[in-house]
Amino acid sequence: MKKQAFNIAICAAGLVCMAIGITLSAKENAGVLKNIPHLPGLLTSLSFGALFSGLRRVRRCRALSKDPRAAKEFEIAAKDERNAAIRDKAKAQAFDFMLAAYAAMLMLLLLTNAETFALGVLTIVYLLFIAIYVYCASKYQKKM
Amino acid sequence: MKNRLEEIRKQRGLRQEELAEALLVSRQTVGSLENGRYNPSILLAFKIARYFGMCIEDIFIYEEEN
Repeated sequence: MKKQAFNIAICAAGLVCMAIGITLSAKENAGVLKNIPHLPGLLTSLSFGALFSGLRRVRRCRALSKDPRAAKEFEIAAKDERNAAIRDKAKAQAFDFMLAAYAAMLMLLLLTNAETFALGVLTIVYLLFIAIYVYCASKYQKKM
Repeated sequence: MKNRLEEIRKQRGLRQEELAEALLVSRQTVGSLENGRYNPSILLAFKIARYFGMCIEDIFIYEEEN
């Protein structure tokens, strides 16, 4: 029940974002958005993501509440240690690839004289990924 | 790591689905264990051994790598 309330809240947040996005994209509000002209588009995209993800979750939750056997199977599949190992391995490989791709992208942007602000933000985010990785590795060294 | 899981399961007349349900794992996990594609955690190995009333060594065969 708590989960379903959370799913409905996601849908509601999506609808609110959509309403704000559409309102801001109206021509008469153009003055407000002088410095952030892409905000309405960003909000609308986010709203679609939240709304459809929320609706999918609501539907799945409803279907599982009607079929206890399917709900049990779903719970087992979610907790299954092999599935967890597969997920972790896939995430680890995707992270390795992301670091390499991100570094290549930074180099490319640097060589193409991209805007300093964008380059700075991307570099900080890249360093943040590495810092989180080092922090987690050190935490698990102590824990395990 | 090799194991006798399939042999023991068949001896007991169990289907993969039934064993999976008893162990609270997916049927695919039981299949992968039987094929030797996946090595279980020590917890799952104990769970399997307890379920069949056997020792871990009776089910899972440890082979030292060269």
